Amino acid sequence: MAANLEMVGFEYPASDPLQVTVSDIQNFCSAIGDRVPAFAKTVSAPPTFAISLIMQAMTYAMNDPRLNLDYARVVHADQKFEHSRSIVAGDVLTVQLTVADIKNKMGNDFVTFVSKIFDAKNNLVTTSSSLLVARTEA
Amino acid sequence: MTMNLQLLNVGDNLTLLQYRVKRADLIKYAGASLDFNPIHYSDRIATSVGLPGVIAHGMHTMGAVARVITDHLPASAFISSYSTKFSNPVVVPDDDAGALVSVNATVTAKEANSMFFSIETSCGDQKVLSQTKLTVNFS
Repeated sequence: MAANLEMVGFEYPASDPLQVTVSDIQNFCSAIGDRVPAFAKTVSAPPTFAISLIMQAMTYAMNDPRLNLDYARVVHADQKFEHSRSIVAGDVLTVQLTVADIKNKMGNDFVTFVSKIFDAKNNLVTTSSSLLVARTEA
Repeated sequence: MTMNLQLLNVGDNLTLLQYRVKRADLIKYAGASLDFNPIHYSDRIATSVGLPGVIAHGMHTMGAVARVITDHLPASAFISSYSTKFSNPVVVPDDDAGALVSVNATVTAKEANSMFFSIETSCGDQKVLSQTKLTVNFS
């Protein structure tokens, strides 16, 4: 089973606007053992919080039959975030996911998803690049 | 104890961060991150795909590890860049101790408004993350 190379460059439709709440950030902080921001004026999210916004789009893409990725064998190999500011509670964000690259090597699929997160003013807040590898069956 | 990051120089190390990750943390993380891959809660499924047992989400580790810096971050600063490769899984046993992860960060460069760090993360004698780099923006 090999991923479909013709999907390189494919842009998924932007997500519906996602409202970031104080409790979303608190739950995420609690799960990574971070200080839970409770009383700050502005509750800002830790740098990897963006993944919780991206995960829905990425899970959809990983299961997209057009991409033909063996989801059960996917491991996360590499992750990069670039932020122009912290995500904060109250943000209304949309996620735009693109299949940036696919390579088949030795029967393994290397798929790079690039996700851009925009705020309500359409400013780019976060660019995330995720390299996923679907390992071949040994 | 919080450190003033901007007083550090190139080559300085931050306070060592050690944390334990238990099965319950992975359940919480699955809910908070929407990553419900069963290899992070089911030994049956984890072993069926060749893993030694339930493993932590790579993104859980990446998130927890950033605390080595963010625990010292002033409110006006933010993380402008954070990247890593996932080199070995953190295997999380079904017991009360969990897995112990150790995190070391070093200042690699300084600019007017930015500081650059490299981070080393290990669990037991294995490096779990590699080429981990983080940039703080103070502007």
